[in-house]
Amino acid sequence: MSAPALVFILIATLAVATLGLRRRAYLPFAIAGISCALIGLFVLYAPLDTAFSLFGLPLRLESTWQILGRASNLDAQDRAAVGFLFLVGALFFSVGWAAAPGRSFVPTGLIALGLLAGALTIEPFLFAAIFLELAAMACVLILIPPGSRSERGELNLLVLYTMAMMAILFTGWLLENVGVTSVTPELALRVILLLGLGFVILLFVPPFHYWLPNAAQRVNPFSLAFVAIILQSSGMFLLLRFLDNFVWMRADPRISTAIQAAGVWMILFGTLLAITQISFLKFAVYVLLADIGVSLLAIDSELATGTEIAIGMTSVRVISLGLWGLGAALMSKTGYSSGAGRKAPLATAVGLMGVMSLAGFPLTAGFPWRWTLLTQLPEASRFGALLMVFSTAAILWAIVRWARVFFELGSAESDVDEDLPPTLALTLMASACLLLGIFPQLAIPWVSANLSP
Amino acid sequence: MTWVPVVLVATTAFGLIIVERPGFQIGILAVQYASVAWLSSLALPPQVAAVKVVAGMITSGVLALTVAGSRPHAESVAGRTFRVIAAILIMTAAIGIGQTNWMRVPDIRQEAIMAASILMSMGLLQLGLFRSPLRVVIGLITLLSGFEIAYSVIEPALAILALLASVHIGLAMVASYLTLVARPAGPAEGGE
Repeated sequence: MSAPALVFILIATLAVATLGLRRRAYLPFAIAGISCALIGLFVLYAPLDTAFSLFGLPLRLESTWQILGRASNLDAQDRAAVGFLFLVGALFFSVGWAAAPGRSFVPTGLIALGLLAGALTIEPFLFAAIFLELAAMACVLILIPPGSRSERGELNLLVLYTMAMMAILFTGWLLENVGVTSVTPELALRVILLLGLGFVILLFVPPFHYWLPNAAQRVNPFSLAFVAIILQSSGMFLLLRFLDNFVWMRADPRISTAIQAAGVWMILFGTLLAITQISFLKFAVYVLLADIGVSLLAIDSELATGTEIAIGMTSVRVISLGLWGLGAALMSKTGYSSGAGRKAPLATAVGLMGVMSLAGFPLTAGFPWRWTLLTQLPEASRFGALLMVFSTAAILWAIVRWARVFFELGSAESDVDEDLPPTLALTLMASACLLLGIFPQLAIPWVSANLSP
Repeated sequence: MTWVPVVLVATTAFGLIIVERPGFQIGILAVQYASVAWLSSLALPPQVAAVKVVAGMITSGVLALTVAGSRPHAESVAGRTFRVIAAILIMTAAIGIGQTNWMRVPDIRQEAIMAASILMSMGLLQLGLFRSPLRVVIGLITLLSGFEIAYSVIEPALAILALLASVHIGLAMVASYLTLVARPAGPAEGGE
């Protein structure tokens, strides 16, 4: 039996089952949450390519699945990425019912996760581009549930991913068939430019982020958080895979300069636009961009642990973004207006805490990895370190301003009943964020051991 | 004879920008798919190029059913005269670019590179002009078809063709979902 085939069958079955159960309130979320957690743990820990016994039955799980002459391969690096994706799914599906993201959220979310897992495991890797495009299509359906208004913002996601697909497909051919390396400088430059175009789209580097703020204004924040985290983290894992597989790229100073420039640009752009926003939803989107920029600085920091820090930041981003998405979704009835915090105090506080964690504020989950990066950055990266501190301070100032707006006496649109199930979900997520911020030693060794390449 | 599909591709790409009635657009798209398959057959075995025809017919069929089911209004975000002028300008530029192998694809025929340039340029123009899901997806399909003409020369693997065909069908299904299941954007709220 092949492990990738088993995962594929499980995801297909779950997608069909949850599609059938989509009219039930909690059941599809519970089934998908538990199943994704089990699949994630299976991908991370199952013994592959070795014989073992389960309840007395001799078994052997292969790490490779041959399909249509191509291979889906779960090697050590891919296991970390795929396991991570399913654990993200487990978290978002488990608490998703509280945010009411729409009936199609679970089945299309599962399909998107399956396609992204396919993108991360398929060989040769150029096929990944097509799987990413298919996953983007599923994400459009997540963002626009049945009956919602379809807008150009979500279609822009599709347009951008189609362009990224074409760029990566062409690059894949140059790398795998033509054998481009640093000894063919003209072709190497074409590869770098095309690959750069593909990855700036996958990593939401401005101006290729423009679908995000457009979508943020209209779609359920929880759905947007889910789509943003699965697409961006898949892009990050693919970038790391490229850099590991093609050593000449990692050694090329132009690549290093481009990653560093993208990181600096994202931090500056994200921070400056975040602090000038008058929309809370767009504010969080720009803070997310600044956070992704810090991850790019970590990749390019020339630290031995740079990749590990980038993966760690991606991991805690799941908690931060989930927290913001859940809080913001439950705040929606207040219209995010002045006094919203008095109508829905817990949701508002949790939404703000999510943004604080995204900005790397102390005592939140986002802080420990940023602190690790800040303390390890070499002298040559002093500008990057200063920029990180400036970003956190500026965003904190903006958060204080938002808190004053939300918690001052005002007229929000309606009273919001904070029912027990959403309250429970908010409390659990907020506790996890604080726990990981105060006791980072609980998670850092696990992330280093299991998710880092 | 090999320039016939290039002329067809240029005519259909032009028609997709000018024609406003959704039903006619789907018909034009089907002809465009047949032309693209014809051009691809210059580099691929005919039975492999037939994959493109099959995918194109399925895609056109899904879009035709969508149009029949929803009766969408013709979208006209810019005047017809403006669109004609824009299409002529972009087509002229595309023909100019298509004179050389600008993608530097080895062993590609002149007809193929010309058709790829025309389709990619006109696809981008459609993406810039239109907002409705149906027209955006037709623009994406035009763009992708242009890319595939050149890409099938360098990567003729059947698995790639099949996966790219699934992208076309997926795009049509997304357009169908957004048109039939989701509510279309209002005129005042359609932009960014």
